[in-house]
Amino acid sequence: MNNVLLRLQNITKTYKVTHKTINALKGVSLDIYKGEIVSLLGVNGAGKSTLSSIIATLHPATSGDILYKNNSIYRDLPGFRMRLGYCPQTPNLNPHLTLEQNLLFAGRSYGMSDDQVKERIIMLAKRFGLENYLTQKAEILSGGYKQRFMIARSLMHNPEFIILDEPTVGLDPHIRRNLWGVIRELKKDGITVLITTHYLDEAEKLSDRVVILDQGIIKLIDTPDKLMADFKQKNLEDVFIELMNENKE
Amino acid sequence: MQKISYVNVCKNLVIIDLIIFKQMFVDKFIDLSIWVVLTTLVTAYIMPYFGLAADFGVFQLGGLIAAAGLFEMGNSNVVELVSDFEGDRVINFDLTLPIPSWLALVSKAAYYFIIYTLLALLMLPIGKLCLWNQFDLTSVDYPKLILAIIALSLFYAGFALWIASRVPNMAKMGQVWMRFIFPMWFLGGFQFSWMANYNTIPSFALANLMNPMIYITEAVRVALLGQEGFINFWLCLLAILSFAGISFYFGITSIRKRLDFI
Repeated sequence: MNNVLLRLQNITKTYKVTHKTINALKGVSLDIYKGEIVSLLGVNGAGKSTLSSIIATLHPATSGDILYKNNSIYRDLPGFRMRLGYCPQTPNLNPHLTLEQNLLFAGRSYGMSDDQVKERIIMLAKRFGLENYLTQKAEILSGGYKQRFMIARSLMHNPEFIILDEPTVGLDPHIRRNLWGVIRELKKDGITVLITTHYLDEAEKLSDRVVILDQGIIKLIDTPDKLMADFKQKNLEDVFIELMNENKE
Repeated sequence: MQKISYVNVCKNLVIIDLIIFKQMFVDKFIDLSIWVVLTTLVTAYIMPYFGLAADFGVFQLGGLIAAAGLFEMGNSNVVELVSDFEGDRVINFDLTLPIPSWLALVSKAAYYFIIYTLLALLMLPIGKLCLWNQFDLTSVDYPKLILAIIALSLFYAGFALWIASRVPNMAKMGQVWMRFIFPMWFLGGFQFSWMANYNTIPSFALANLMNPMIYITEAVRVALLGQEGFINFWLCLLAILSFAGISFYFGITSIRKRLDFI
């Protein structure tokens, strides 16, 4: 297809933990299309966060390549990073800075002028309901607000593609729903979203396509509706459970 | 898409660290002053009673200027870095900014360089207040002092990265300090010159040439007290810069290995 934004080509990742070699990813190939929401699903240790951190250019792949608009991201890493927003699983806002300073320096670090940065902070603070917290430090925030700030920071430079690694883990159900709204708005803005999650309901409601990873291999890629029809199940959770049981057998 | 200036991104990272340093500066200044005042008072006014030379206070001030950065590095910077590696990984944000990842570490080192330089320079007025008539500021070779402070700050900046990469977790920090940094400092000429060391225990003095602290303390003392009785200043400078280069290389490569960044 012509509108492939990101193409993963046979990505592998191997690392050592106390003399034991772990093959976290065993040849993952995947196309992500412009403007879609893709969810990476899998049990703990399936390789979701490893894959998202490799796409986020935090860690190198052991082998394979990632193409962004048909060019290897490794040829121009800073250029790719300019187009990418990354929200890691653990909030890592700078605890010594106010939340406004966190956003300010994030914007400046992507080459935005101070006027652009200020305008963007006002817009994002309003959008995520963060206006009352800008002068505070991160430690006073609850988990939900921290997560919103993390997403706001990853959007500061107006990226084309955003990676949200377990964005709703540990949050109360109503805050999760609230964040779903935020993620849907990103899609409306034309931003391509990659979410890693182990909440099946979240993936079912948000995603255009889901990718099920198991032990470092992609088991299935399809739309939630198609998967439910194929597996004759009412929801994605049942599809997932059936698939995992098949693998055990 | 606009082209990003790596220099601006790095400058931003340094400014963030300086803003945080500013929040803690008063406390650091008080701690530093206590250390300098107590050490110089004892060495300049009490120790001569036991036969030490009258100018030992200035000699000791040289040791303090040389070691200020090392203490800031060991007590503060390395601790912060290791706890970040073990904790929330604020550094991961820096490592995914639109610059080559290793430049994020160079920015961190640039911040260390600035504060080590500042702390070393602050020693001078505090030392003068304590030593007063014993310390003639006009006799200081300022160009050499500035060069020595730049070189030692560069070394400590690289060394901070290297040490941080080698400390497996916060629980081991005390061990690294006591088994590695403390001997390096204490045997590195904090209270004696290399020549004095050579005249008493030559084999130990020769082995001590592997210790970067020897060159740092000697270079600062040449600037404060003159060349006589110390290792040649330019040789010291060359040695410090060489150790700095080694520290930077191993610091960045070891942190890259530890954090597994691109």
